[in-house]
Amino acid sequence: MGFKKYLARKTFVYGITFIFAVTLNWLLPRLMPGNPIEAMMSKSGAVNDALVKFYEELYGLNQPLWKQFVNFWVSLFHGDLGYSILYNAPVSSIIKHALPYDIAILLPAIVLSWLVGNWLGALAGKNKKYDKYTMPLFYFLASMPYFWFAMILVYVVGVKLGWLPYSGAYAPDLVPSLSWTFIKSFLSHWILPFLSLFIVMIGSWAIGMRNMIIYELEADYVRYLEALGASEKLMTKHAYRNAILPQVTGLALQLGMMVAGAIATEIVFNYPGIGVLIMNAALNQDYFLLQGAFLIVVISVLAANFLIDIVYAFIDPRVRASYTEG
Amino acid sequence: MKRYLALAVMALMLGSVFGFASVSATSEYPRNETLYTANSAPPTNANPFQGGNIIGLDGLIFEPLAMLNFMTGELKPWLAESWKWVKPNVFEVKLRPGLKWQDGQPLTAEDVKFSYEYYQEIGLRNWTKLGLKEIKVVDDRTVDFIFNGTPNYQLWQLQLFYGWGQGALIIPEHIFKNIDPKQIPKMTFLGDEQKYLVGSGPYKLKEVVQQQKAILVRNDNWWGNKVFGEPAPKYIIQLYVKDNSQAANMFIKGDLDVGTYYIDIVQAKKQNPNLVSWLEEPPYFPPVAPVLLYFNTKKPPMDNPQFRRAIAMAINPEQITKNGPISGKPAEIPFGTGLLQKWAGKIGLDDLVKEYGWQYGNIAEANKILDELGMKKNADGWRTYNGKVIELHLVTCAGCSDWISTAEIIQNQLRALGIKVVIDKYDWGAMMEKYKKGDFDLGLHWAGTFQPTAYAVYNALMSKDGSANFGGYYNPQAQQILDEFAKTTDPNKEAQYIKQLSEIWLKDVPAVPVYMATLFYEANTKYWTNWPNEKNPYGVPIFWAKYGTWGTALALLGVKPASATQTTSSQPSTSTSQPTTNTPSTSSTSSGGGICGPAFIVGLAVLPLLLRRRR
Repeated sequence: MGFKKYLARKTFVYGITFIFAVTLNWLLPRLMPGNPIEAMMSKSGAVNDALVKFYEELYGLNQPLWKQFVNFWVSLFHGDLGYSILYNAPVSSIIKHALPYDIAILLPAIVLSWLVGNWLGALAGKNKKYDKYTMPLFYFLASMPYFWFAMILVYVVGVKLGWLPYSGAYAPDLVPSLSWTFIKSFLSHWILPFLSLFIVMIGSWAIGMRNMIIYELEADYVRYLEALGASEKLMTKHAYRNAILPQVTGLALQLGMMVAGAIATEIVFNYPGIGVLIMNAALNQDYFLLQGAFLIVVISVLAANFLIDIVYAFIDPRVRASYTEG
Repeated sequence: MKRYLALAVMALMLGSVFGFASVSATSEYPRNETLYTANSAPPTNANPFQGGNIIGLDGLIFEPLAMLNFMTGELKPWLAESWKWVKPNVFEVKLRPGLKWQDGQPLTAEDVKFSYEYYQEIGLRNWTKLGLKEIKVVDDRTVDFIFNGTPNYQLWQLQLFYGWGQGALIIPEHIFKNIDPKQIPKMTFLGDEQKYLVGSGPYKLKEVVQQQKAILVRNDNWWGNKVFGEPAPKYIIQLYVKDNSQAANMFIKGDLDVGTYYIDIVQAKKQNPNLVSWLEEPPYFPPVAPVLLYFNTKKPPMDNPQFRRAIAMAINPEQITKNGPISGKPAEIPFGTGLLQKWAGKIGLDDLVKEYGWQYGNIAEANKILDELGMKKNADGWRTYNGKVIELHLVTCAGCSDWISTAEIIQNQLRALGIKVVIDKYDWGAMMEKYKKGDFDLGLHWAGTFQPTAYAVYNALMSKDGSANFGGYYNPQAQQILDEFAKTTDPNKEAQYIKQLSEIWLKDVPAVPVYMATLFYEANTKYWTNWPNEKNPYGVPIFWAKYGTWGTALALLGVKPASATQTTSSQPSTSTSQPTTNTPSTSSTSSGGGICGPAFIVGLAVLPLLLRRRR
């Protein structure tokens, strides 16, 4: 009973957040000065009033703002995300074709770096000697900008040494298919972008974990366990379960943001993901692509949060208790 | 569980050592038959009416009646063999014999009539506004465009080829008559809709990998093989490359054959001597159209032509080309390279400039003019107008580094004159809004000069509601000449009008050309040669979508295979420090053991995982 109520309340809060966030996403680009269609025309060298009018009508931008807002929600419930101004294609198709590449890079990078980073962090938290040597490395990794490390990888491994391809998601003379050649090409193109994210991410996970472990090992309950003569393994086990909680939240947020793409990585490795598309949409006031992309981001961040709220209730009895009793 | 994961990663890396080493060169697209180009926007649309964003869709797949060579200003008959005004209001186009569609059907005058009418039905063009009353098919190869009264001949001429808001591509009636024009604007012509893409040109769209690449394949039955010769590349692949430094790497490695990217061409040439561009010396890239410094001619003191002239004199383009963006020196009149080449001699530009023009960088003379205008300097050395210090706001775009550095140089140059310039940066949309509302003192843009004909340039810049007349310039005399100009097709008369308009331009200074903007262009001669350049401008190095019939198609049809390709082995590729392979798939590098490096790196990360369990 209590858990159901908890779920219902969460769902309600998330529903409100969703509507509010999507509305903001709709409104904010439209508050920017300038007209996207005129800007597009003048960038191409042609300033043509008739064409501007044609495109404004096509995108429904000639209608009053409130009507555009109604149209937006109506088409949203029909599953229509609109038609990109910048790329002249349905937003859903753009997202559909770009997102898999981001997920292919980001999902393994985030999950593996989380696992490895937590491991290394936990080791560092327990072992002073190990800590002394690895912490500078972790801080170095964590403070390293993605694009910088990626550029080094491109230059050293890709261009100078020529070990691995550094551009695109697969060889330029291939088209995606289920052939062995394509898969091999895809994997070899996948390694460098993956590494560029994976290695940098390890640093921050490890730092977070190490600090939490140290904090937990100093906590009263560990002292108590120690006084009772518990084994080190048992103490670590309890400390670890407490220390991992904030890391789980961090992981969920990262996974939620995954659909926004990895802009720096995509640019440096020329990887066909969604991040660059969103960036260009923002720069060019492509309302529809922005709306669509942010809609996906909002949904996935909310979904990740929602999931983590539920998972929390399972892995942390205190949370469950506070909701059911409160 | 985690051990399995680690093992899986290790297995993957090990697999890669053996696997990737053998990525074979058995590609469907042999390198020496494939031309690689790239665009900084992904291919997402192949709509021939809006031009899509696939290079060659306009020009190589669908063709216009005529092609423009933007670099020489020449209009080249294409599907049309000839055209002329048979009556003051009847424009007759004669098609070439033996035209056919890619599906084998003949291309006739009916298709031309259908295409032009279809564009209007979609709403993309308004020929009626240009005075078009009726399109009449005379016979299979002849079509008459009949106008109400005397039309604007000069504007109509621009409708023979295709661009943003102008002209049409000829489309097959037997395919498009079944599609409702209202559906067209939001169709992408990809996926199932690709079947409608039956053009008449030398290439067909083979495949589009959405947002990544577009592949064109040669149409061996092109009608033009007899007229223009068969194009050399069997395939043209357009990649999506966003970043300049990526493009630079790809050019250096020889993975890209041609493109429009801002790369350090001097450095790139050192590493790959096969790279060429438009010029052999700086600025290397083709100078195309001048960037103008606009005056808001509605606002004092910019409403005074003498004041504008003084500013024009204070500007020194030489300094801009030296310290600013990569650029060429502009002429005083707002013409690009192609138009200058075509008209400068005919209108006696040198004499005109000597008589009415100004001398760039002549601060002394500029100071004298301002003194005569009574704009005295105050104690701090700033000029005053009506007792107030003159402070001009130069509006520019925040992301345009070339314009910003130009604006800063101009700011310095005008300081010598005692005129204070404040640079205001807005993003593109906001900047255009400012220009449109007249909410600026000085501004930079090239919209008025990046135009196909001399008439189009002066019409955009000097007519009352010209599309690029941001400064609100108006001169009844210029307007009258433009009206007359519109009614002529006689080259001698055209020259005379251009001369008169140039004279007014030089006297009135509605805007100042400050530098000749370049188009970035680099080509690789390893696989394909005979790229257009300054000495051989048969085509135009604009590798963007929607400018195909401005000369890009001509350039792609003119390339020749490099004979060296067949003898690559005898010619060691010393161009790059690392071993180059014949396939662009860099994964197939000779050393299979090379994979050990990354495997080692991952191994390092995985090692603690494995060790931990054993403890």
